[in-house]
Order: sequence, then structure tokens, then C-alpha cells
Amino acid sequence: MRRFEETRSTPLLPVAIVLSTAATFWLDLVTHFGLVVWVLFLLPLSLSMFLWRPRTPLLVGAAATFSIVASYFVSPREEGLPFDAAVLNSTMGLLVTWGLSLVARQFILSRIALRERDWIRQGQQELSACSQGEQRLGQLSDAIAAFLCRYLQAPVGALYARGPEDRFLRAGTYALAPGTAPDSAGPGEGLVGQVVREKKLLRLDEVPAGHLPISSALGRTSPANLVLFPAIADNELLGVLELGFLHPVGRSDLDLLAAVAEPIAVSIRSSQYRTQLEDLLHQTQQQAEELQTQQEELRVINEELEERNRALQAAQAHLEVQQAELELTNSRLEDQSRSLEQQRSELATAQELLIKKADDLARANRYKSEFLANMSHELRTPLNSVLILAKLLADNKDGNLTADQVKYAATISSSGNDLLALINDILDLARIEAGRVETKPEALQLPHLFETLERTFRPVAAHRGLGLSFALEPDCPVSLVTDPLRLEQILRNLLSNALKFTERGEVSLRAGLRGEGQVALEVRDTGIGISPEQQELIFEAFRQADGSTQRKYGGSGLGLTISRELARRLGGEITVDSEPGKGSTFTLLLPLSPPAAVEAPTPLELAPAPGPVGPAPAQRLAARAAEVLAPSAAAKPAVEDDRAHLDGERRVLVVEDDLAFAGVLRDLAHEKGFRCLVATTAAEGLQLAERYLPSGVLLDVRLPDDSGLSVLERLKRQKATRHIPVHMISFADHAQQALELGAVGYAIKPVMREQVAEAFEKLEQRLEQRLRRVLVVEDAAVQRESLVALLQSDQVQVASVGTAGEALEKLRREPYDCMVLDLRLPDMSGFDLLDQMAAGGTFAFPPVIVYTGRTLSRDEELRLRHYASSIIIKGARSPERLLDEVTLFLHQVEANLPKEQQSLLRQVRNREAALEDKTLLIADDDVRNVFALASVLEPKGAKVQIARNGKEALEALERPDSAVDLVLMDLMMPEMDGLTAIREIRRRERFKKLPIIALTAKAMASDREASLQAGADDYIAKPVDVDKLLSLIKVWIPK
Amino acid sequence: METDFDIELPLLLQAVHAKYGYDFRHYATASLKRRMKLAQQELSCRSLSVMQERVLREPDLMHRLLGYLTVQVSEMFRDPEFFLALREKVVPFLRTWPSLKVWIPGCAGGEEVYSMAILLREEGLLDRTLIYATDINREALRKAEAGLFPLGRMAQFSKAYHQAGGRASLADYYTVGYGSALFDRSLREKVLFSDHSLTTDSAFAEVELITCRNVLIYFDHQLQDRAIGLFSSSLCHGGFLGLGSKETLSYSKYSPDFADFVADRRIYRRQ
Amino acid sequence: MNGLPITSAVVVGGSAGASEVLSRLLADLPDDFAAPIAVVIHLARRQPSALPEALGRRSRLPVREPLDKEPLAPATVYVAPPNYHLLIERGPAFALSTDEPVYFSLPSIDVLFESAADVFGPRLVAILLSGANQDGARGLKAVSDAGGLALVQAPEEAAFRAMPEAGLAMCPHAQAMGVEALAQLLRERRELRARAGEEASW
Repeated sequence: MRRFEETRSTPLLPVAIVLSTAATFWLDLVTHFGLVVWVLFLLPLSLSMFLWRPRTPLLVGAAATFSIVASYFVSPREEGLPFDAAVLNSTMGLLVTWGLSLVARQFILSRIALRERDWIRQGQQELSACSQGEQRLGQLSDAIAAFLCRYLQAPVGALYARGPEDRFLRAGTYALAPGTAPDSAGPGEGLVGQVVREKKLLRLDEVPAGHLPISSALGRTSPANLVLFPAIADNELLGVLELGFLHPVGRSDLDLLAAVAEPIAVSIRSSQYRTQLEDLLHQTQQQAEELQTQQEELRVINEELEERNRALQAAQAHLEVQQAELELTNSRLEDQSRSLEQQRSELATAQELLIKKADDLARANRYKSEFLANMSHELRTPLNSVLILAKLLADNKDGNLTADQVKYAATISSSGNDLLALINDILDLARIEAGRVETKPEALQLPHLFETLERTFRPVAAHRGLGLSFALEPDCPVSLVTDPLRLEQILRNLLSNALKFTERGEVSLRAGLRGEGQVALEVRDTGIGISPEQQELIFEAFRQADGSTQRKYGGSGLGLTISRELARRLGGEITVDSEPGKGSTFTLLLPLSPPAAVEAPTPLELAPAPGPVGPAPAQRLAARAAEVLAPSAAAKPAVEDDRAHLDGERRVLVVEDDLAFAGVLRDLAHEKGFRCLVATTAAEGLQLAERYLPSGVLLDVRLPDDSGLSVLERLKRQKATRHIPVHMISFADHAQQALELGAVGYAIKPVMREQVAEAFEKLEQRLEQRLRRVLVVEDAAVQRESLVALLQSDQVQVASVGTAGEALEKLRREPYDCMVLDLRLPDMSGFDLLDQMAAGGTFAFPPVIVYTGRTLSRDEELRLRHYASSIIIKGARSPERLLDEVTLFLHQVEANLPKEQQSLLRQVRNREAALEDKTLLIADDDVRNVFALASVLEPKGAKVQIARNGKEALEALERPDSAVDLVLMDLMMPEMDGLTAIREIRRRERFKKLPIIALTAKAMASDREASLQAGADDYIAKPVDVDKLLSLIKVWIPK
Repeated sequence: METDFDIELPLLLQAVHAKYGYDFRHYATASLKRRMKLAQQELSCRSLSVMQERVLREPDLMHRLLGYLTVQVSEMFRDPEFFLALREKVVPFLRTWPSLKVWIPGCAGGEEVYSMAILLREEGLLDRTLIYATDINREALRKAEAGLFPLGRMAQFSKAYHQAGGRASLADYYTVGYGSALFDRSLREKVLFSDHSLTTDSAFAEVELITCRNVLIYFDHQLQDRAIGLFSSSLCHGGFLGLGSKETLSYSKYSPDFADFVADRRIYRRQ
Repeated sequence: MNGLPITSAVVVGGSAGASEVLSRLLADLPDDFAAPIAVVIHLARRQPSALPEALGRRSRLPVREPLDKEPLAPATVYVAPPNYHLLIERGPAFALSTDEPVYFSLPSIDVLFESAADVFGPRLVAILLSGANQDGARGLKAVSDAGGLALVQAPEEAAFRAMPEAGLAMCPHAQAMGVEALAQLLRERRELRARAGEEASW
């Protein structure tokens, strides 16, 4: 109660009360008794009502009583006043002042009570505020303890909440020193336990020493008073709060505690519920997972059972079937043994027949060979006269033939000679096979033979710049017995072959003793060699696997077959040992003396089983290319450059494998104020470009490891290097392609100094030119403006027009980096506009992006793809794609070709005569690939037809006006694939010889073989290496 | 620590590659070993060396081995959320191309192929689309091309089809007979089934969309990179790549070529 | 901790009745537990799993489904995603596969255990928990054959005893243990804990 009495009030008020009381007292004493001075006591009395002490009015009342009584004894008496009346007056005064002071006290008391209620209500409110929210029990208890301690000015407190098994756990504390209060209490254990048992408030004014000490930095004291009270809701004890006070505990404190006990109990309970609920939730979730697992397990077991059941049923069915089968088999076996008997006799008859057939065949073959052998005379005679007459004509003794006619005659003569050699070979072979070659063994001096051979071949070797050596090993017998003519024929053949197939190095003939009584004659060369697969084939008549070899080196290809046959006649054999690229060794093994009986001529052998097809020409071409190029790969920077001190922004990368020329370029770069990096291979070039990001690149097309074009393409494909201007310097094979790939210029070797200087200027120009120009052609004004807004940026300037005419006008006047075209235009369709742009040389032809609202047919798309780099159908996401594509092309493709470059391109086109006016059919459904190929082939003067699948290819070929010279056939196509198409083409007589090159993305050798077996002449792997393809086409295209 | 099996495995793979051109040398080891052990058991070979000997002599055995090494289980509309994302996020972009090419490498039994064809048909894009369905296993390709699936799987497929935003009933796309479901021939008209290996072959066409889901998980890092390189060079600028739900480009050197498009469905976009 | 090489690992497999046990094991791990833990629990194949979340709530270690080719990180729990087999490759890194289910289960415990045994050999602890089929038994044997420690939840304590019993039958070297003993073993095994710069004791 004191809490509320001692609250502030102005100090003036008590002073005024005391003064007014004293003044009245004094006045009462000095005035006559019986005067109504006591009325003045009403002033302090009423003043005291404003104070908070209920005792004050009583004190004033006491003072008034004293004053009135004193006045009775002390005050002078008023003469005129009856004494009785004065006493009455005083008595009234007494009664009134006491009455009033009692009223004043009651007033103050009720004010204080009001105030206390307020305080308690406020306490309740604040408590409920701090116990709001979803707090866990610990948090909540801490908050409650803290609040109550603060509100009641208790320095220490703890809250125990009911836990499991009626134990009360310490859940929250306030300023409690660790270890000074029990963690939990059961009923009857300690003070808390006592409260638990009694469920009644416990108040201790004598606190046991050390209980609930108040600890601070200054030390520990024990609280003077201790209150423990139970938090009960619905007759259920949920918690016990223990508070330690330093001051005596007032009634209001207890009232407050009584008022908050239930809310505290309720919040403890709901917090406990919440925690429980959460735990339950987690548990449920885990149980749900567990349920899933169990369900899965059930499914598994079920499936397993079903599977077993199925297996059982199957086994049973199987058994039944087996039994039935057994019975059936039994009866069948009997039948079979009967029929076997019959078959055996039939077989015997058939065998006899076969033997007879084989005899007939052998005889027929011998007849054929004999016929051929007999023909020798009849064939040679007319040919001889042709030869002689042609020679006579060629000599032009009379001088009456024109130069051309002489040349023709000479051609007849030389072709005739070739024919004669071929006939001779065929006849030789036929004679051998017919068994009409007789051998006449006689003693032969090897050194002598070698001399003869050397005389013949020395000049040939010298002419071809090859070494030629003959050696007799020390242990080799000098003479041997054999047919000298035949031996010489064999060796001549081997030697001339060796010389023919050797480009550099040497050819040697060496004789030595091998094993028991055998002489080995080895002809060794350093020529192109023979792959293992071909080593068998070369000995077979009429079966040169690789037609191109024959075409290149001439000859009938029968020499080796004849040699082998002859060697057999001599009782020996020929073997070959070779490695492609390294050279070959042909070894003729002969017995020192001829065998007693030379084998009788074998009847014609059945055609040999088809062996594996040898590596196709394309592979060998590649291998040869690699062989030629390999040695030039450089390891260190071959030309000294500035990579050690690259400062400033102007640096140029020179990619050139000609070291001298690279040096020239470097010096020139220095002159132009560029730092210079030099790479000698494509790989190094790319690496340096990525690492140093030069401001420009001078790029040679022909590099040892890869084409410069592919370097260019890769530079343009990579984000980081896309912007770098590249100038090509090389032989002009690929000018247009390079420019289309994004080169800024192209100079043809050999280059003048001025041209190189120009190249540097172009690079510099390009460095400065940052603003890109885009032309938008769109008829709808709103759309046009929105496109301009979409594409415009500080690096992109957009011009826009609404008609095709305006577009052409713009293109004529200034170059653009990119054009966005709507197909629907008022004056001309977009297709026609593109046609016009393509036709007239006066228009620059920037990359075109077709932006259209209509869906396109396959044919329309194909037509557009010829000119347009990209086609976008308008729709929800099309603006994004448009922006994307435009950005891409602005970096990728250089649009404007200056005049002189255009004429240069035309020049280039004329240089490749092989393709001029040839018609190539490309059958491929990959549009990108088709146009990439077309863009390489068309500049070379070739006409390109396109088919999107095998069916269309066939149709194109069968059109009456078709004049296709060569077909490039992709193997993977819809509707009719390439292999089927090739087979179909080959089935038609007039296309038997049409060259077909297969394109395949497959790496497996078997797929390539499959294409050859289907009838393709050659194949090339995707992605297509342009150089390789061109050389392949040149090989196959009819001249 | 190295068992005989560990020693023999690379030898066998080397032999298979040299003889038949199939290159499994960069398949992820753990799965490969499992499959190999199974094959060894079921082809009754005492050791891998025995199997090597037989595989080299009997091409027929190679085909059976190929079956063990390549075929994996798939489902139509596997991970329906993926197809839903394709439908909602990717298709609007696909509409901007005049004609479309879609490549499904490692298509195995064809479940993914038919799912894709149905989705494109429902979006009105199938007519201007060509789908390349490739695999190294010709037997699997033949099966995929036949378009025949056990009827028992249809319930599950149908459920997934609806979760993937299917607009009709899956049954509209197949006819039933003899316990099998035969998918509509018109779905196949726009599909080119072809033999192609991500291990050894190169890119063959420019495509706008590639979905290659749960194929890369069988490859090691090096081979994954090769395959992703192929995807990168096959996709046109702005084209899309969809991977399996647990596959990622994060470990590939080609990841700068791609940007996340629908990250949580593993759809990437070529940059 | 991320810089340390992964030298040992724990693999856990289970089915019906296993997730609760696993959750308890994970909750009991000490602060310095360092080995990665790979888990296969049979779950419905065609719906996303809430298992990582359910396990993660009581585990101090992060719990997640691994990506293909994701390297194993120390002190992390990896749960096989539904509809994929989970395997461990050299590296060590995870690999996934969609091969045929094993014992009708995808993911399969055998697949994880066998591949992990191959990579970790004797430095692997494998635990087979409660479940109702025999997936995991062959894997447990593979672990034991490779010198790893093979443990099963004591069948009499397991909610479903088929799986641990199959494990014990297939792999006689496996030790059966109560959950408390399993938890204690994981807590106290030295090689599974972070080492301050010293090498493994084997």
C-alpha cells in the first residue's frame, strides 16, 4: 500500500496544510472562545484531500480537536457570548472537523484503491503483451520472470513449469546466479515442492541463508523476503513462480501476483501445447516418409511375388510344352532316320555330279586360257600395224601435218603401246595359267644378272632422282640353277614397280641365303608402301582395290600376279612386307636348285573370298597430307615478337608459318605503331588470340596444323574474340568464304608491301569503327518504330524504311551491317527484294534477318535460307530472339565488300577451272550444311542443286533435263536415307558411273565401308573439311 | 587393391573399340562395372578375358554385350515437370523458328521421342519439326521405331502425361492389341531414327532443341565434355538443351556456352 | 574442413522402419564428425522425396540429394534421389544411373554399397537397417569382402527384420548391433572424425 501513498505530490501542499493548521490554531488561541474560528480548519482538511496519505486528514482533525479544546481553556472569554453557546459552538466544531476528516480519509483511501487496480490491470496487460507470440516455453518463461521482477522491483526470480511426471522444471529465470536454484522439484521437494503440494502462495520473511542469492558485480546478498506462488488455471497447477525481494512484500504485490497467476498458467499451457503440436507435426512428417517407404516395400514384395508366380506359371507351361514336344520328337525321330537314309543316297549322287561339274569348269577355264594364249598372234598383228603407222604419222616426215595432228598421232602411238603392254601381260598370265610356260633351268651367275639389271634401271633411277643399289650378301652363293629368263622377268617387274612407287629415297636389290638351300632376292624401296589389307590384293589379277593408284602410276597391274605365278613355276614364292609411308620389301625366295617336278598348273581357282576393303582414298589423302605437314610444326616462338613487353592497346597478332614473311609483317607492324605477336601454327594463333586479345589479327590461310579459315571461324564464334578484326593474307582460294566468315579483308600472296600496309590500315579503320548500322524494312509504321526502339543503342544506329524500293535505295547509297526484313511489303514481296539484292552487283548484301508474321512452307524457307542468315516467326518471344540475332550478326559478319574486293572475288571464282560449269547435287537435310557447302562450291563456278532427302535426290537425277556431274550424299536423312538412295542410283544403268561422295557423321570404319559397298565412290567425314572436300571433288569429277 | 576384373575391363573395352568401333572407354566406371558383371554372368563367361576372346571372334556376342552396355530404363514423360516447363517456357520460343529440328541423343527405347512428338503435336509444331532420334544400339532403335510398348506401362505413362500438361488422353495416340500399345504412325513420320554415337561421331545438323536426359550420367567427365561440346556445336544460337533432373553443366568446360533457362528443370539456352 | 581429402565414408541402407532409426543416428553425431554419409532408403519412385528435409531437421550435418558427378564433401549426408540408383565413383564423386531396378528397388542399396566398396575398400563403414526385403545383403557382403566394416541393425530391434536378417545370412562377418551401439560406434570411430593435421591411423 505504501507504494501508492508515497507517490509524488507538490511539497507545497503539506506545507500549506501545516501552515494553515498552525495559523488556525494560533487564531483560535488568541481569539475569544466561542468564535467560529474552527471553520478555518476546513481549509487544511480540504487541502489534505489532495494528498495521497489517508492519515493526513486525521492529523488535521486531531490538531483541530486539540486547538478547540485548548481554546476552551486558554482563550479569553467573550463577554457578550453565552458560555453555553460557545461550548456548543466548539462541540459542533469538533464534530464537523472530525466528520470531515473522516470523509477526507475515505476519499483518499478510495483514490488509492483505484490507483492500485490500475496498476494491477496495467501489469496484466504488459504481461500478456510479453507472453504473446509463438514462443517456446523457455523463451516465454524467461520473459515472464523478467517482466514480473521488473514490475515488482524484485531483483531475482525463477519460473518452474510443469514437466512430465508432475515434476516442475526450471523453465525461466531472471538474474539468477547459476547453480543457486534447483533445476526441478517434485511435490514436497524444497520450497517450490511445498507450493506444488499445497497449491498455495508461500511468503517467507525470513529467508534461509544462501537461498536464491542476488548476485551482482559487487557481491551476493540474500533477498529479504521471498514469495512463491502457484500459477493455476482450471484447477490445474502449471507453474510456480519464485521471486526474491529486498523490501517487504506489499499487499498490492500479492494482489498483482494473484491477478496474473492464471494468465501465466494459461500461457505456459498453450506454449506447451504448441511445442507438443510441433513435435507431433515433425513426427507425422517422418511417419509419412516412413509410410511411403513401407508402401514402396509392399509394392516391392508384391512385385516380387507376382514375378515368382509368373515364373512358376511359365515353368509349368514350359514343362507341359516340353512333354508334348518330347512325344512329338520321338515320332519325328523315326521319320527322320528314314529320310536321312534317303538323303544320303541323294548326296552321293549330287557329289558325283559336282565332281563332274568341277572338272568341266577347270577344263573350260583352261580352254579359255588356251584360247587367249593362242590369240596372241591375232591380237598383236593388227595392233602392230596400228603402232607402226601411228609412229610414221607422228614422225611427220613429209611435214604436211599440223602440229595438232602430230600430237594426235603421238597419242595414238603411246596409247597403243600401253595397250600392247596390257595385252602382253594378259597373255602372259593366260599362258601361265594355261600351263603353257615351260621353265628351262640352267646355271646362272647372280653378279652377271645384277649387272644386266643395273644397266636397265640405272638411267630410270637417275632420272627420278632415286638411289639404286645391288648387293650380294657374303654367304650368298654366286650361282644358282633356275630359269634365268623368268627370274629376270620377275626381278624386272619388282624393280620397276619399286621405282614407280618411290618418290624419294632409294631402291635396292639384295641377295642372300635363307634357311635350307633357299636364296632370297629382296627388292626394297622407300616408297608409299602398302597397307596390310592391300598386301594380299595386289597379287590378285584384275583386282586392284584402289583404282586411283593405277590411274596415278600407270601399268596394267598384272605384273605382280604374273611374277607370283612365275615364281611358283620356279618352285619359289614371293612375299611382301610393307608399312604405308615407310616403304615395301618384296622377297623372292627360290630354291638353290629347281624342284624335281614343278607343280602341274592348278585349275582356275574359285574367286577369292572378298577380303576387307582397303582404306579408301580419302583416308590415304589425309594420311599423306599429315605426313607432308608434320615436320613443320614449330615448338618455340620461331620469330621473335613482343610478347614479353606488351604494353598499350595497339597489338596485332600475326599467324603465318612462313618465318621470313612473318618477320616482314612484324617489322611492318612496328612501323605502324603496333606491338606484334607471332604465331606459326593455327593452334598457337588461337591460343595467343585468346590470351592476349589483340586489337587485330593478320591470318594466313595455309597453316601446318589447320586451315586459317577454321581459325577465323573459331575466333568469330567465341564471345571474347568475336570483335577482333581479322585480315587474311594467303593464296586467294577462300577469299569469299573468309569475308563471309567475318574477315575485314583479304590479300593474295605474293603480297606487295603496299597491300600489307593496306591491311594494317583496314585493321585500324575497323578499330575505330564502332557504330554499327542496321536497316529495318517493315511496312507497318507502329511495328517499324518499335523495332527501331528495340534495336537502337549507342553502338547501333538503326535506319528504317517501309517499302522495298526505299530499301534498295538505302542499300545502294550506304553499307549496312545487318538488315531486318518483313516479307510483306507494299511494292514488292520480301522474296523478290532478296532476289533483286542478289542479282545486282551494285547493292551491298548485308546479313539479312527475315522477321515475318506468316508461317513458311519448306520450299519458301529453303528459298529464304539462300540469302537470309536467320528467319524469325513473330510471336510472343520473337522480339527477344530478334535482338539476339541482330547482336550476333553485328559482331559476326562483315557486310560491305568494297568494289575492288568484289572484282577480286570474281577473279577468284574463275581460278578453279575443275568445277566451272559442273553441276553438283547436294543431298542433305541439314540446311546449315547445305548452304555452307554451296557457299564454297558456287564461287568456284559450280552449279549447286539441293535435295533434302534421298527421294528428292533421285527425282532430281531422273528429271529429263538433269545434268548432274557429281553427287554429295549425306547418309542420315529423313524419308530415304543416303545408303538406300545410293543403291537406288546405282541400280539405274545410266548412273553407274556417276561419281557419288558420301557425307557421314559417323566415325566407325564399318559405316564408311557400308557407303562404299552401297556404291559410293568415296566418303568424307562431317563436319566437312572444305579443303579436303574440294580435293575429293576434283579427284572424282569427270574432266 | 586392383582385382583381375579391374585389369581386364580396360583391355576388353580397348578390344571392343579396336574391333567394332564402339568406344566405352570413357563410360562412368561404377555403372559400367555393374553392367559388365551382369553381362559376364549372363553370357556365362568365367572372366572378362574369356569374354574378350569370345567377343573378338563372335560378332553376335558383341550385339548381346551391346544390349547390356547401352539400354537403360526410361519412361514416357519422365519427370513431368520437365515437359511442363518445355511446354510453358520453351515452346513460345520454338514458335519463332520457321522450321524446327529436335535432337534426342541416346533415345534408347523411344519413350522420350514419343513424348516429345506428342507434346509438339499438341502445340501445333510437329508439322514443321524433324526429330532426330539417335542411339548407338541399332536393336534399340529398331524397337523405338516400331513404337510398340507393353500395355501395362500405359497407366503410369498416362498419369505422367497429364502431370506434364497433356491436353487430351494419352490413349488418343495409340491403339491397343495383343497386350501392347502401338503409337500412332503419324507421330513417327516426323522422326528420323538413326545410328549415332556421342562417343565417336560428330555433329550432323543444326538443331533448335536437344533433350538428352539421363544419358550423360553414364559418361565420365571427359566424355560428358565431348558430348556437351557436340551439343554446343549442334545448337543454333538461342537453341535449348534439356538435361536430366540430376545432371548439370556446372562441371563442364562448355558451361560458358550455355545460360540457365529454367534452372530447376535443367533447361539451358545456347548463347 | 572442405580442404581435407575424403579418406573414408559411411553408407547406410534401409527400408521400412529405417528412416526413424537413421534420424536418431544422425542426431547423435558429434561436432567433429567429418566423413560423408551416403544413404539409400527405398522411396516411392515417381514423386519428389521429403526425406532430406525430414532427416535434416534432426541432423546437425547438411542433408541433400547429390547431383551427378558431384564430388563428395566431408560432413555431409547425401540421400539417393527417387528413381535413380546412386553410385560412388573414384574421385570420390557420385554417379547416378537409371538402370533396371535391383530387387524391384530404384534406388537400390546393393548398387550403392558395391560401388562404395569398390572405391573405399577398407575405409568404409556400411550399415544395413530395418527393412522387408533382401536388397542390401549382397552389397554388405561386397563391403565386407573389400575389408570394410559391415554392420546391421540387430533384427530383434528392427521394425522389420527381413533386411537385417538377409544381410547377416549373406555376410556372416557383419556385426549386429542395437541402435545405441551403432550411434556410439559412429560417435567414437576415429577415422570418421576430423583430424587436426594428422594422417589416418591405417
